[in-house]
Amino acid sequence: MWQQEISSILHLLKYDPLQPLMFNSGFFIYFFVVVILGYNFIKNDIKLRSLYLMLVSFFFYYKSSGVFLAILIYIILSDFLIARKMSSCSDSKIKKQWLLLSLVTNIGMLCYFKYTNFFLGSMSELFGGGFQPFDIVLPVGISFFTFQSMSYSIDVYKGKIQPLNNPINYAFYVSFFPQLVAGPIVRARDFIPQITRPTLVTDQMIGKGVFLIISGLFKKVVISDYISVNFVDRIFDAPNLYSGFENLMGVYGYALQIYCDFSGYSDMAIGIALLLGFHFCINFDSPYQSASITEFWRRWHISLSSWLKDYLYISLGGNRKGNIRTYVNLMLTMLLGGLWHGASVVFIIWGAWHGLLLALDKLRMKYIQPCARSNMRQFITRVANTVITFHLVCIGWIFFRSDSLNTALQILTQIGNGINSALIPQFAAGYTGVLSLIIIGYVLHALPKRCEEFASQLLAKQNISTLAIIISIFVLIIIQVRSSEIMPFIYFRF
Amino acid sequence: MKKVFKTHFDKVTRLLLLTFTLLILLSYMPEISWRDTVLGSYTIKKINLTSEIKKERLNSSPALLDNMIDTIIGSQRVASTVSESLLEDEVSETNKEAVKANQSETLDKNLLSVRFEDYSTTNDLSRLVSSLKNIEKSDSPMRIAFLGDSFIEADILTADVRSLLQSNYGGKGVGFIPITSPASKYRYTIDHTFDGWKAYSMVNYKEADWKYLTLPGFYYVPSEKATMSIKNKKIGKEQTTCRSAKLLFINEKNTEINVRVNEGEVQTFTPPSSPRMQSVDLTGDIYSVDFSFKNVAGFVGFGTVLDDRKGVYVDNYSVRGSSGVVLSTVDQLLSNDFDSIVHSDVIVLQYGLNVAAAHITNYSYYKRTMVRVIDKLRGYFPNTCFIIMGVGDRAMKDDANRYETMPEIIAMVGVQREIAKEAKCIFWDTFMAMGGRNSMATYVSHNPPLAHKDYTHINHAGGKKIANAFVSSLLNEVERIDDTPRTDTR
Repeated sequence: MWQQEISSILHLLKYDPLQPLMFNSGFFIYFFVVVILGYNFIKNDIKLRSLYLMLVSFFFYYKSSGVFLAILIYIILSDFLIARKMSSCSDSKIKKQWLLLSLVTNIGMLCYFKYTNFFLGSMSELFGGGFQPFDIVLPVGISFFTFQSMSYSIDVYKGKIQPLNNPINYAFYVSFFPQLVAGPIVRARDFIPQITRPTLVTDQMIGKGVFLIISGLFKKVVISDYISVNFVDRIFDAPNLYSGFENLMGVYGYALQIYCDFSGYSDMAIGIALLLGFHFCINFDSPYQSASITEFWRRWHISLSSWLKDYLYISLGGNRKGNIRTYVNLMLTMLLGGLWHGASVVFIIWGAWHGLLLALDKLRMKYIQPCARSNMRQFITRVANTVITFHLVCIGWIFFRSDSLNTALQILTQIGNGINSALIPQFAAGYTGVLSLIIIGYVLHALPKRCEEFASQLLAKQNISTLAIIISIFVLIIIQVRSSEIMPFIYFRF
Repeated sequence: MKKVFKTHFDKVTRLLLLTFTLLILLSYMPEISWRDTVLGSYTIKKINLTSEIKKERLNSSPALLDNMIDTIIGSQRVASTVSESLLEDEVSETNKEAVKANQSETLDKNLLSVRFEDYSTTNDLSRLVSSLKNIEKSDSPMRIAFLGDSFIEADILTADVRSLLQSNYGGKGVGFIPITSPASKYRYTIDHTFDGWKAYSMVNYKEADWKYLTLPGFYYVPSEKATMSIKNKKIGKEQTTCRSAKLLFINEKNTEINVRVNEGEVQTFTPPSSPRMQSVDLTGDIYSVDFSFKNVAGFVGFGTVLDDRKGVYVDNYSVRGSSGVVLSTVDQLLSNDFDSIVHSDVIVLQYGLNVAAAHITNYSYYKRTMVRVIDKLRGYFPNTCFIIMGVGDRAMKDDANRYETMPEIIAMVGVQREIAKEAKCIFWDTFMAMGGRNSMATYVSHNPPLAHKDYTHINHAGGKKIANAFVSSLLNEVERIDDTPRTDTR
């Protein structure tokens, strides 16, 4: 009788490509509880802690990507050894060659898995087409851990940090499971000091951790997944079947969806790390509250944009090589930033759009001085600027989400053809759930930071039983939304 | 005990263990639901941590279909008043027949090829197939009319049936195009623009005047500024043309019709006043027509038919939201007129999507009504054979959060087969052609996707796949009548 249970448990531990491990899966709960149980006993031994978390993270990666665990281990070993060589090296030329080797290895891996088909496909289009894409499977999180490992090599090269002596510590840093698969991209200089500090989890950290995990799950499952399946996906699948107003709502919906998806996952990662005693930097800081594109990039995917600024923009020369070069560096950085997101021309267009906006913003800040105004006028100006910035970002999202340039243009055309306000009550009646979530999402987003802090503090003060009850109620709510039936297509006359 | 717990386990561990225990307990809680209150009806969905763990991967092999249908229907939340065991038997009986009907095919070839099931007493299928075979010798074209709902809207599926049949048997032109259509920009076959018309559909039969309703399911009333243009889309560099364009309308008073063919000179037509359906016939090598009107009072437009003189034509008469039942509103006189201008040799009824709703498996009312509808249509269109195209697969999320075939769909397929038997027409099982159980989920996750993420509607690519199956079944029948008659293997 137990045979079946045992064999199905063993089967669970195996990698299943149809059910890769993610934070919002049932298996993860089991996984995390088991991990914490073990952690409880070894956490006071620093060396054992690194080894344990490294092994646990390797298993996590195996469950999400199978045999590609080998790639992760290879990158870890390679950069660990290269960093050692670099720091023991006095000749700057040879040092540079080692750095180059590290960069080529990481970028080479990334390019092979992510961009081969795109590159070859684009080349073949130029010469008449007929290219059959290779069946190359993308290892999960490769865009993140290669960037993370490169930050280490570059920082060691620049002398900003000392290389690690213990390969296990380095492996732990790169593979640490909360941030392995979808960020944030954790910098070596931020994390490595924490590896040798004793484990300390304060009530504050528990409060914040629980808050982030709950709010992350809510954003991802309740808001993002629901509005994408029941609304946004359909608009982007066939924009011509929908009116201008529906297309517009689809764009607003997507802007919220991608924020909730990305920041939700980041929040869960930061929260889980906090419960284990580790601090990650904030990755999303209410980006749609920004009043300019420059501000937007200080609040959106902070770990990526600061990585691009510090390691790409500055390495290209930043703003130290004259005016024109500054703008070229800026554009190049944003184009590559776009390409990082995916191997498609729409991502490059998205990057170019933001590059252009950032360049214009830079010019604006240079030549237009803000003049002293009354508080009310300042407030109104800020609100207006926020709305404008939001819409500029939304235009970018149209390209980002579309499966092709054609689709993006269809959406813009539909919106451009006019918004029929008579449809609004019909829309509200037909898509009540989606509309409510969109409104709730944006309202929550507009709340000031004090509210988040207040909630974290409140949770920090609770005892375990209360916290457990709160978490369980949340899980129950999330299950209601997650298993809800798919909303049927709604058709309107237009 | 508590002290031991506290000293050996830190706060985080205790928190997680407690939470985990709570979640496990919650998965055993009794089902809480409330019905028909101020807030409506709702059942709380339970936390089921173990369902994520159990992996029930059933193989969808057609030979297991019998067992699976019984399992699905037996285990689902059927909220009907009809006794469940009776329905199960009915449905599984007819579906067992479906499996038998297809078994010889699966033995013949490795592909699952779905046969047309002929329940007519007048050998409709063989007659249809013979006329298809002899089409090249014939002077008149063969028309197949698809009447359906949003499943085939925007020429989905029908465009591919048309191009496959036309490449085999000749014919040029997309057939019937309604005056206006909400999905017109989604059509791949033509560029269709229009302005200034009010549409009436048989689905809104309370607003519509039934004397203007026939197969197309719509009629359109113009304003003075009304216009309508159709342009054949280029396929590659080729500009397709057709030799005949007919505008179908009723001219009760003195409307003047102005048309420019191929963006040339304006031709004016002043048809006689009559309450009957008429047509304006344009001939030549036509790739575009632009219509405008004067004195529109008393004018009712239906659509334009673009075709050639010979070959096979496929007309798409889809009406969003229709269940097929509203076809009982069609007008006899108008239908006779329509049949004499645009005679359909075959009418395919593709419905079911708007009928198979969750928690309903008792379709006896639908069955009775559809049989009556078909009998009525048979009377209005005496030289036409009827094919019922079964409902396609449709999926919903199950308890373990996976997309599975709605059991109501399986019930509907069985009911539609019975309708075909009672109305004595032909049946084609679309559900089986898609791949049977959970085929919609496969369609959606296919790369590139073959259906939309509402797990209900196919897209053009999915339509092409089903069209291929439909036409190859038809072509198989053509081959079969060439062979010497074989013994019945059923």
